[in-house]
Amino acid sequence: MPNLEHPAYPAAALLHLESLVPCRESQVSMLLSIFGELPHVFVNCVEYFTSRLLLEEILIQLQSGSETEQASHVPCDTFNDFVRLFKQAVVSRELQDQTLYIVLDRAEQLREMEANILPAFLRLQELTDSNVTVILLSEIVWELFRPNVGCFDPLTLYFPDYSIGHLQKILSRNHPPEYTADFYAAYINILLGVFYMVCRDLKELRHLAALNFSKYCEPVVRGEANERDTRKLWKNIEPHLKKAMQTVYLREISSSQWERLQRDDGESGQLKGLSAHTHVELPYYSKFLLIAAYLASYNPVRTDKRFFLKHHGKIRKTNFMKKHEKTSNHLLGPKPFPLDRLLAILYSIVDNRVAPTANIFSQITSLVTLQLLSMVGQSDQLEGPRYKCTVSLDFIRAIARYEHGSTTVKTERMQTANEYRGRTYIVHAKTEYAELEGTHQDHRVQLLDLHRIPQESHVPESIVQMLLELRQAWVHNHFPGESIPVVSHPLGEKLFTDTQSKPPPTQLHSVSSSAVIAHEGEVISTRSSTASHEDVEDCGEISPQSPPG
Amino acid sequence: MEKWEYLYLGQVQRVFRERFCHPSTAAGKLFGLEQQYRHLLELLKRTTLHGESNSALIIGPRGSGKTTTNDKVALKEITRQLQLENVVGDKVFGSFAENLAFLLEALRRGDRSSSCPVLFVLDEFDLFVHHKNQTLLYNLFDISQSAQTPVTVIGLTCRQDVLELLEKRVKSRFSHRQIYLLNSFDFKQYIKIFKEQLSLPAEFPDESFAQKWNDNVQALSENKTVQDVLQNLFHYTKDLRSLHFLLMLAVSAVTGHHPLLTAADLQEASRHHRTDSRANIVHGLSVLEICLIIAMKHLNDVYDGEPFNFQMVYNEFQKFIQRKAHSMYNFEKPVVMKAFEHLLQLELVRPLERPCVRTQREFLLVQLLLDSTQIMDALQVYPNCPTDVKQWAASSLSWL
Repeated sequence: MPNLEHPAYPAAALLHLESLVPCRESQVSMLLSIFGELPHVFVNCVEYFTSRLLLEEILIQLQSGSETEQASHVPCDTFNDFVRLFKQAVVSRELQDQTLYIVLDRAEQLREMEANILPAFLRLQELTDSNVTVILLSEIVWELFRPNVGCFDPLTLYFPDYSIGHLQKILSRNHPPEYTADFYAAYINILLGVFYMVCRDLKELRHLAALNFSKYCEPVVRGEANERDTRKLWKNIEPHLKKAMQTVYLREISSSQWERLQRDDGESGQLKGLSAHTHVELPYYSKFLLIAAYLASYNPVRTDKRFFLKHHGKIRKTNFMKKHEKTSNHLLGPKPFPLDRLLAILYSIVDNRVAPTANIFSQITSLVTLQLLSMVGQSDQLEGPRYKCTVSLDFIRAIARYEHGSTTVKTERMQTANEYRGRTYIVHAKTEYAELEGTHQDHRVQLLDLHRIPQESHVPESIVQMLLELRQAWVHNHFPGESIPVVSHPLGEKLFTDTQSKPPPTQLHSVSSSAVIAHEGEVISTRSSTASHEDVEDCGEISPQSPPG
Repeated sequence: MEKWEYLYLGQVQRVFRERFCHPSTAAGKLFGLEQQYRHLLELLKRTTLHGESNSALIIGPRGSGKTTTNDKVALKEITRQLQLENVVGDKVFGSFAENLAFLLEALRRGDRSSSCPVLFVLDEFDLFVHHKNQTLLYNLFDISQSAQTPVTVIGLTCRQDVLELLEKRVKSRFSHRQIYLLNSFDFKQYIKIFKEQLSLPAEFPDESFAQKWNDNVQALSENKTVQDVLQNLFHYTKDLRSLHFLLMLAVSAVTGHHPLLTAADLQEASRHHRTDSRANIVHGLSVLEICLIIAMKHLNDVYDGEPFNFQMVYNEFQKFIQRKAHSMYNFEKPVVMKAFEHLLQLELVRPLERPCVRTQREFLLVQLLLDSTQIMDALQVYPNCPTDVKQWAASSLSWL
């Protein structure tokens, strides 16, 4: 700035400095050093996040600038009071002839406060009729600040970002005294070579430089290389920096952990980042529940029959499906599914019989608490609870792989999950290959025929209430482009022979409350092979089945 | 240049600083507003001299800032400024209802001949109409219509439709006098204003320097490039505040070695005034972030501006890395996610809804706040941009 040689600044203009990310903090400190001589107030808007806190802090700092000790707490609720008290404070500090500067850092938080704070600050000079300059520091453009009705536009000044040369110079400045400047400069060059493409933030780069320098000096310290052996030093440091990018840069581990790791040197098996902690040890059924939830979220409903049924037919593609084939479900995110579908898929992927006890349902709830599943909608919906799977494919793969290692029974179930041509295959040992395709259609809730009720009479009524066969309807293709999957459990006949005759009452409630819903306009008929099925004439008029016996 | 001229630089700067930065001291410089000024003066005179009560509304495209949050605060301020009896020192006692009753009583007791007329100036009038029941406005206008203490209520606003916001009972008490302040000068007058604003006043201590300066200003105002610069600004906005900003930037270039303004200074000031702030930000991004922006640009082109999420952007980026990139390393997903969140923090990318616990971060729908031309322009000036990134930006299909 060319006017720095003039010490007196009787200006009362408003400046809005837009500083870019990499250079903000040094420019702020430069600003402060200029202001050190001048009467100023420096407030961070993140620290004082309500208008009241902000205004009171400004007044307190104003008061404390004077020589007398009183720093009495003055309550200041509205901007009106602030203007009045500000004028008093200026008079008491005898600053009427000088310019007072108020610097607000992280000014984008001002938008979150009351609506009159920002326009009022911009007009502070007019309101208080004194020489005051308000400087707002922010990273974002002015257009995002402007209130709808308009306000007194400030002058905007731009701080340019640092070029790579600047960064090198700044970073090389704080080299430790025991090494030469050239040595440190070479180290900075290597560091920038790895990290410059990803991040230009001066603070981050400084942090990384400080953390990794000891590792860089190790060969020199150990005597294996001298300071000019750039190739050896590079070979030593390069894998280390790559690891740093995956851990410390992402704040997966703290810097003290990183330093400890460097000292122990090579026990990288102990490295447990933050995201590793999400891989909790889940009980047996929970793992399968999670995998079933993932399949339910990312597969369209029409494909369920094909994947989980032994003898499935072909899925005919209609025009609707062809049009929307391009966007994969993996890009759009998980879709919600009802509880019944989850259980249906669960029964089909777990080999041995799953007793639908309260244990299973409580595991579902604990998965929701762990935020591996999330509940969609209110819990008192009549249609039953709907869930969404919120974990990624890598997590599922990790679980499935872990499954693979435990017992032989499990290895038959879930062998690999591969990505092949954008499709995910989960290989069943016993049944056929299941393909998962993704489309982004939103499917209606459908119910699946889990298994046929065996003729034994002591079968509990609860789970079997989800029996609904839509096979005829599917064959006649009444549904526009959607097929009704029917899943029959391979061991369906013998499923419940060993289970208790009386399931716990909680389970009854949760299942029987789920009404049976069908597509509008379709006629749904059930196969009346057992006593539990009922014929349904109209859609929506399906009542839970009466218990057998 | 001479030493004595150097001494006067400080003076020059002081003059201009006061003129541009203290708008209140530039009184009397109302360009083209003489008629409105006279009208207003007439109105005020009538109140003070004849005890007439009036109300008027001044509408003009001014930027504004002083706001009060509710009637209570406004009333407190009124009582304080009027130095009514319930003000002790600086504090106002009593609740809102008491204050209002007190004020109305005080105003009602006067009459045309004996009491002093009161002038109420309400700045940001359109914010007063949003108060509950518009109580304050109603009462003020009511007083102005009845035979009590003569008051004049003047409202200042920049909304032209403010009358529609008034309630019926308030509107009927308002006298519907509206004074419009519009910048209605044309370009020739604009140049004259420019000259006037830039000239040193006659009271300047050093006459010869002032003469030299003013002659320079005259020459500048006839210069073609300067006229182009002013024409650009005039087309963009007519108000004087932008002109002041431009002149301030230009005058900041005046130093001891460079005592008189040149046309180049004005051009530089104009360029600074019109920089695109977002382009500045894009200039400082890392290469990975630039790649993400280009990926988002391609998504916008393909899907016609529909919102997208991080997973789609990452997919696009992967397509580029796998087929075309030789200079970009295939970064891991968390690193790319961190770059994406940096863009969110800079507000170049805006989420459509607040991020909540239910949705995963990767599937949050966002929109890009830059358009294609801005991105392409920024890429031209981006330092050390890898060539394949630039080519990818130009066309996403070039690898097909």
